[in-house]
Amino acid sequence: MSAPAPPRTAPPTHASSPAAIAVVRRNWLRILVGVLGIYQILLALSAKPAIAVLGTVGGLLVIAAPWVPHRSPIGATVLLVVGTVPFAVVAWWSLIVPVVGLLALAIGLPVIWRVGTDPVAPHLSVSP
Amino acid sequence: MGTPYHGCEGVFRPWATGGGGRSVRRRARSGTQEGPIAIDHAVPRTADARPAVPEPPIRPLSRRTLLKGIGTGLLTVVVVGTGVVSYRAATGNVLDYDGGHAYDPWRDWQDQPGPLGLVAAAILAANPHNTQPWIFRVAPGRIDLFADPTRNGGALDALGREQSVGLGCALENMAIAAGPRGYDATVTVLPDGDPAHIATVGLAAAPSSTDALYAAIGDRRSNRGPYTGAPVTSQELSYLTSQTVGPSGVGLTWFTSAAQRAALGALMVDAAVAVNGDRQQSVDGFRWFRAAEAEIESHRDGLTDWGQDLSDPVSSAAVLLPAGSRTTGDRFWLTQTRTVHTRTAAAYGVLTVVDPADPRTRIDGGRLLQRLHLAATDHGLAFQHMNQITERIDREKGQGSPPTFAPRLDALLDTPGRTALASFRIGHPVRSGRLSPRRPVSWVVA
Repeated sequence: MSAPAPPRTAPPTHASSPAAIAVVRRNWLRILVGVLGIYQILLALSAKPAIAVLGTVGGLLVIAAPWVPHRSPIGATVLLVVGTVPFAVVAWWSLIVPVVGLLALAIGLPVIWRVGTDPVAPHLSVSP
Repeated sequence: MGTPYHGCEGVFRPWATGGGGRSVRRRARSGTQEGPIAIDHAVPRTADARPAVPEPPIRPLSRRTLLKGIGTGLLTVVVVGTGVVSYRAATGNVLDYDGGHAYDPWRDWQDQPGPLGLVAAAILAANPHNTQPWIFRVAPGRIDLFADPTRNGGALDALGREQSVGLGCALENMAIAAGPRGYDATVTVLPDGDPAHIATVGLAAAPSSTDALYAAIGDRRSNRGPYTGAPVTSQELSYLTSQTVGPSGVGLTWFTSAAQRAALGALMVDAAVAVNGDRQQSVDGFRWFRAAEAEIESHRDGLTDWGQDLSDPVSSAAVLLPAGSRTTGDRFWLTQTRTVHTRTAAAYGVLTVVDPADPRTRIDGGRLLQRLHLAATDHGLAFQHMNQITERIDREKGQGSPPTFAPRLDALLDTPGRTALASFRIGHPVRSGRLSPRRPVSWVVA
């Protein structure tokens, strides 16, 4: 008794999920840095207005920094440092803000400076 | 069909560029074939199928890959934990403890129009354990102040002394605010024999006047933090003592020398130990502690972590950590009493009266106490009410126990025929006192 013929094609959703999972796995540390940026924005929104602006802008920079193309690691580093340090200094006494900033730097800097780890998946890359 | 790649951080597999490998795996997932290994070689070739490409061998997990995975997992756990603490910090207003509505009355108390402006001043008065035991009735030309019997300290205020004193404080704030807000106030204490009807304040229009104590109403705090070692000068004490000219029958005794302060401080520590050891007093005190921000915003009364006037990092840690138990709070208070409150007090003041059980005397004492607190604020002095001794005196009296604290305090006071109504410490603050939550005017006007 022969086995039934296998389907020739799979549904599109099944076709895209391995690639999506691979992208997430490839960029997991970048995602963690982004999550820390979101924490920073969450904290900033509960602060007094001046500190809230500083923290919110900083949080957006933290989210963006790891996704800057690898050819400009210095620019990404500046974004990360400017996004975390001023807010951490201004709100040092809160304890949690410096912790979030330090974590973002500890995870983000190696990601930014690691060779050959552009955030975009190879099959999505566009070579000049 | 795109180029598949596997794993994180760019494990690119150029050998898998053909279509056969992926389609085979897809079929294996779909369950249309049995046995994933057999499938690779059992798939029937079709006319358009390209030559099968062998599935790449599964590489064994290297130590480096394993360690990398563990590290990434740990980082993820740390980030998630940080998220939990961040959420707690954000909802606990760690970065802006007084930003909530519970503190609005401190900011807008001068914005209320007409007689409500006097009520807005009254609700910022000192009061026992921030119970805010007041109700106001506002009518044309008058404000009536009533005690709210449901807001009391229980066994901590066994004979209602502190509640009456607190109502006197609120009454004094109204009286002080009247002039600057364009009223001539006539205060009648206990106007009709109803013990809950504390006072009637008659209001008549008058030219606006100035009063330094009025300006201090919004700046007054009970400062429970450390004070510097700087002594309170005789000029400062004289200024404070001059406030006693108003209400009659209430005296003021200062404890300024090191020996006097040590003796009274030791009695305060003993009283704190006794309060903690009295379960009912401990429970009734803890009832007014508000740990969570949601509690503070919904009740807008009671004592808070921030109100303990610890340093900012320690206060933040207190908010971020899980709420402590009653006994933890008791231990904290006793430690603070020993190591901060009594150790750094530059001077103690004790209000003395002939009969501390007399309601009118209590209200008059409360009025004087509020004036003293405002005058201290006006002079940049820190001020904290410390009434554990009288709390124990009333508790012992209420229980019919032999008095242990009254004789010791009377001996220290050395004012024959007069005894203590309330006590406090003053000094130069290390840091500013923090705000306490307040119920707004709309909540307290009947």
